[in-house]
Amino acid sequence: MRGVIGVNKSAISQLIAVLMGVVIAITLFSPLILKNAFAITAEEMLEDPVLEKRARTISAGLRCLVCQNQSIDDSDAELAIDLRKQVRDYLKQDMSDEAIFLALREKYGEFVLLSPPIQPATYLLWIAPLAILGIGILLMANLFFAAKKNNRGSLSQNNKSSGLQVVLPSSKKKKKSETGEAQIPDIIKITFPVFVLILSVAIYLGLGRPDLNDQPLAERSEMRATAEKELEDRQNAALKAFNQAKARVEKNPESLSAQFMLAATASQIGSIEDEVNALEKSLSLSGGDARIKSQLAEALTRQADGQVTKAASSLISQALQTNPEDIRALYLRGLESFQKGEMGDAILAWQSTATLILPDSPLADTLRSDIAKAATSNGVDIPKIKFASLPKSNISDSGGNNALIDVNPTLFEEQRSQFSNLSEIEQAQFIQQMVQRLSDRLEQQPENFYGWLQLANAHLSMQDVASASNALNSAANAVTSDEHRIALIEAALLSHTSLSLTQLVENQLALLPDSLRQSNSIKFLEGEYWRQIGDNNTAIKLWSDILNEIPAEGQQAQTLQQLIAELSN
Amino acid sequence: MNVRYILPIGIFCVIALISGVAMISILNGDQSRTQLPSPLIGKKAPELVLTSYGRTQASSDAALDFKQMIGDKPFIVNYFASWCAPCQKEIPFLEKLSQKVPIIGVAYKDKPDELAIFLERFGNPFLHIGLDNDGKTAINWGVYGIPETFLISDEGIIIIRHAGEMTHDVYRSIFLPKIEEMMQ
Repeated sequence: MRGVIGVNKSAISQLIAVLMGVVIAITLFSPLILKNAFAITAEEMLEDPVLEKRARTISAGLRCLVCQNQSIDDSDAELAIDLRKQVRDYLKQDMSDEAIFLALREKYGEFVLLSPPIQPATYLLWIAPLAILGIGILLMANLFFAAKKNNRGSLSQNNKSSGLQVVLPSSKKKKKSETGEAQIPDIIKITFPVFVLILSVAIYLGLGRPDLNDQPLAERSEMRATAEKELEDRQNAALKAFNQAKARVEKNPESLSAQFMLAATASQIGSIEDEVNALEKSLSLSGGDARIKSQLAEALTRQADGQVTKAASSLISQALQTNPEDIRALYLRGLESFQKGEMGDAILAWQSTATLILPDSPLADTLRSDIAKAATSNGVDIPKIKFASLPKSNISDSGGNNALIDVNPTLFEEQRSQFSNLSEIEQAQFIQQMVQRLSDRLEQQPENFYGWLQLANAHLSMQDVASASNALNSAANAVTSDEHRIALIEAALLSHTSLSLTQLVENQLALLPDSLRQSNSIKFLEGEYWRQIGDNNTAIKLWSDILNEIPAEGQQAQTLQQLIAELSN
Repeated sequence: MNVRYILPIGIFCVIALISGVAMISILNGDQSRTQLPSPLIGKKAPELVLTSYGRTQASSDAALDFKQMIGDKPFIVNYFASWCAPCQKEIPFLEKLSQKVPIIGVAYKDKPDELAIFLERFGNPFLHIGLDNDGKTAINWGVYGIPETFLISDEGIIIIRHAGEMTHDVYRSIFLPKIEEMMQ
């Protein structure tokens, strides 16, 4: 009997050891299992994959001060989202990783750094896990050897006093039973730890997996997958466009437009050699067009990792001779002077560049920081920068604040004539850029209600429902009159897309004065609202109310009757 | 009882004791969790470049001029939002407080509509309200949860940062001594 128990015990000790091993392995590899579980959403990510990667690394090292035990990269807290945006803003301003950590540390203190620095106060913190691990390994080794020894002892049936048994009380069973002490039955001693182990593994596998539907993380990995797929699609589309352009060039090597298109698509896929080659050919085919010269100069500069080469420099001079207001050439001239250390000249060139561009164009930020850099390294005050302003809009009744978002008609005509020559992909890109610009401007003037409505419409036309819904929510913040409110309700209902929008409609309806709410047009909208959230009866009631008040023969009445009939079915 | 029984039981007891103490201190709302030290204390308060609430024209480019608005005396900057419950709770006290110390409100990620309803319903203790729509200003001030209340000296230095609801007790024990010190 004893022998049998001894063998069992040894086997079970080993089983326990194996199970513990499994648990440790799962714990160690859980970062791999969880690798898709990040809080970051697609729209937060930076376009530049290198910067994005840095942003991710930095975020992983910053504590979310709301949840306190998560990095801001893992957290869905509002503050974490804001901090992630802040980190990305800093990166866009060319700040180094250390500078970013330092900047946030100045605001939030040491605590914002997720891994505490190794210093006397934190020695215990750093050493404790290692010490515990060491003790654990020692204990397990002891357990293992004791079991082995016990096993052997039991088989020989006489070796009762083993020094190693000291460590493992349960292996002293024989002695205890002989001395008659009260003890827990073996079966419980053995099954309880096994049960705990199995339970914990089951709980981990059952609840902890991020890819399960009811896990908040599941959605995130899905979103990331979608974002990655979109990026891939975009890259594939760019590659396809490049191959098409290449085929066109092979068929017709003397075509300027084919070469130029090849250069543009090469730039899209980041193939700088192809871009430079195509631009050089375009240049010779065009007989030395000044615009292509400055483009080529830019491509050459990019090819040389941002250094303005001699070849680029002479192209810049030629381009500027033809057109002294060539923005690209002017900027590069500034860059060239900067690299030569002629800060005064650099500032002058960049200041003239600024007068040619709008203060909210993408180049403007670069210019601001470049001029500041040049001024600082020259030890002079940062000069004031004057940017161009858009010609006043001719479109009437747009009011002072709306002027920026209306398009200058002549400019628009010009762009449209160029537009029709573009391929489908380029048209889509063009629209996307316009929308991007509109939304950038709105960021500057969030109080522009009709701007937000326009943006929402643009997003809707591209079937980007989420962005449209965001724009409408921003519009809600810019509402200043009942007229706005009604327009917003209409727009939200027309898009009939998401739950959050019905919430918005509900809020806006509640904010309308009663007198307006009794009017037929608002009643109609309200009916539509109820229809959309699925309460057909209320919708029918509201619409029937209107029917009772308007002449029964009119077209409106007919439409309403039709709508009600549809709902009743 | 044998030594080899006492050892594991002893270890278990020590671990249990430590976790017990930790648990109790967390359950009792240990202040170290909610009151993180701010490194901004003793430094100049960051600028408030915000759209003012209640004005149609955005005055977004200029920083708030504390001196011009308040003069040479200490004041309070309170981060709040209409959607935050402790912010609603602290308004009555802030209204009383505003008779002694001017309070500048920063509405964190709020909507003008909802803000209007909030102020109407709970009262408006603020001398001026700026809208921090994107939360950037809050980050600049090291705000990690609202409400947060800052005491600023007449020279624009941050003296105190209190995270959480502002109550009479907090004011009397933390704010008042510093204010009296400055007034002397």
